[in-house]
Amino acid sequence: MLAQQIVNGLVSGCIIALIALGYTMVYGVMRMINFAHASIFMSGSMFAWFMLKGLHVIEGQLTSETVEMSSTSKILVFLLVSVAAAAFCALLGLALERLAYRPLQNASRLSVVIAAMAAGMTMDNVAMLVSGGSAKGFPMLLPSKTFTVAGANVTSLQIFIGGITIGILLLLTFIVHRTYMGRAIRAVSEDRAAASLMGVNVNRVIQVVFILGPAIAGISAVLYSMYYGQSVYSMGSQVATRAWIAAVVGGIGSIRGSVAGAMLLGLMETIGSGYLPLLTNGVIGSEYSKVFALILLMLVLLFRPQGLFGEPIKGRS
Amino acid sequence: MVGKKKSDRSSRIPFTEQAGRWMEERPKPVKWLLVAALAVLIAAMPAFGNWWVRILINTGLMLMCALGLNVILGNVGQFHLGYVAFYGIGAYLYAILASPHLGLHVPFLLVFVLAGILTGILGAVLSIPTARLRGDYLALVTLAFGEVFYLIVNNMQLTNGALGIMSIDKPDLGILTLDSPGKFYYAIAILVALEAFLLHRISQSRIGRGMAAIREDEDAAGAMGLNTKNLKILANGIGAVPAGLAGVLFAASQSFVSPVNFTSTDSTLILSMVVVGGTGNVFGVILGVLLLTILPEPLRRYMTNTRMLFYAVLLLCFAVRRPQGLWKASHRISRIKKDQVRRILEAGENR
Repeated sequence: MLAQQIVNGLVSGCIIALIALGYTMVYGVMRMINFAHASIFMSGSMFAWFMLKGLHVIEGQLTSETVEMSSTSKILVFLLVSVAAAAFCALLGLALERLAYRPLQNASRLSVVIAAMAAGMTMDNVAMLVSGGSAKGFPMLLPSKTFTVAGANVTSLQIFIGGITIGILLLLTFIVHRTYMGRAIRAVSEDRAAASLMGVNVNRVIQVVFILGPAIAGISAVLYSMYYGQSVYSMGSQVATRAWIAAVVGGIGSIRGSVAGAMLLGLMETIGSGYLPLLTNGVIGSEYSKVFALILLMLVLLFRPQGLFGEPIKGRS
Repeated sequence: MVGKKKSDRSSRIPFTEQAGRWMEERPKPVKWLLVAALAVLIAAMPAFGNWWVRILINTGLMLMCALGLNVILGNVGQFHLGYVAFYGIGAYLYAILASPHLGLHVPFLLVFVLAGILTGILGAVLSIPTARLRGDYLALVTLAFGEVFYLIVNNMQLTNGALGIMSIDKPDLGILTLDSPGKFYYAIAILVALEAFLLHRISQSRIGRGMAAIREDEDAAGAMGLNTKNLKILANGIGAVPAGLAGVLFAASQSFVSPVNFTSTDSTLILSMVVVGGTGNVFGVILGVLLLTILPEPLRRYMTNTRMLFYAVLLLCFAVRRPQGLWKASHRISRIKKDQVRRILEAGENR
């Protein structure tokens, strides 16, 4: 059983990691948690669902199954929808930056937080109205095979999610360390003023970050919807807390940190909620997994506020 | 050529500030008359029918919460995104202790005081890990706390899960029992007035000025010798108390509590009242609450589905265009400062 919990924990950690990357990158360049990120994530999933509907890949009320299609065409549809969702989310990210962040770059931090939250709420409510408030079944677009490894059942989707996460991690690390834009991003995260003095177009860098983060979240949204079988307007709030806690725990501003933090959180949640009912004779059930996240957060903030991979915080800044 | 520059517009005094200054400059008797007229108006409200009184009770409770949040948000400048949890703690405390659910019937006043103490301590304790760090982190902790509160309350046996607790006792205050909306209304009105007065005095006191200093520039405040960590914890503690008290009243007036009143959306709602009204300014907050609780009521019939969307867009517009809210804070302080600076400059020029 433990092996199964570990597998499930790692996979859910991977999905959270992809979202946490968005939080961490925006924090890196703007020193601000993008509270609307989870809503962009949810919008990506909704967009993907509506696109599937529009392409007539899914019909009618029971949308967790596609129409008659070969598995190759399903894979093609998956690729198409993922790219489209990523692009849609990137556009939303750009719009968010333009409407809610840039006008407030000189205002107090509070107004930025509120603006972001309001933008997120707007997206959530629009999605609620457009989707009629109900959860939409999301079809599985990848061939499904189950393997047994060390006593745990691992599905092909889980392996795929793990692979994509590693791939995106490597890609992002490559971008950040080997390209000009990556260097610019690192420069802006270290010292915005100095970077602009060195000729870096800070606004452009921020725009790039607001494209990359949401785009990755868009891909994650499609994966999440396939993994959990549904797309619902409250998806964002389900993952939001866990994702930024993962980012903070891992060290906000650090790419490695978000992934590490997310894995840790995922493992803690599944193992904890798996064993807690046993340990407490059913008094505390498995719904309390979010409490673990909060406890982890409080512990980290008390003893190591910079997270696992972050730079030490010198008092205030 | 003298044209319309952007600076012309920003140096014009906003309407609410002009109104505020006009009010201040009225002679004392006129001020007392206005206050008396307001008191009469408030006292006469129940004559308009029970439906209206219920709306006002809700407004009053939201006022208590918003004024409390204003201490944390406006006075100290820390983001508290899970405020409704304190409201819920007060409500559930009374619901558990004074209803057939567990068979306990603890007297109202005892629970009232207990709720205030409990939420005050909890609010302070919650802010301790982040008192050393920047405001962002408190936002995260409070957001998570709010969600965890909802999660716990929705799933625990003690709180009857999603079904909620019913038939909560009406408050028996010895001399009278609050068993009609009208009586609740007066009780809440008195409490709100008391709270607004107390919090306003606190914000004008030495502690309050210290908190305002932290809000404006935390490093400078620290350099001036203020114990920023303790002040922040104090502010969080004081700010949480009204919500607990309001929660108890909420449970008593509704006779029914369920988790659905205490989601993170409700936290954002209270937040929006403070932001739209004017963070840091007691009068501004009152204005914000009145606007956002009374105005949507007539629209409720037409906008049930889009109500939250309306709130969200309104909040977004306010946050982007006028982040300080309708009624800016501490204009009194800045006017005194401006006068002093002007006098110093003039004294220097005349040398």
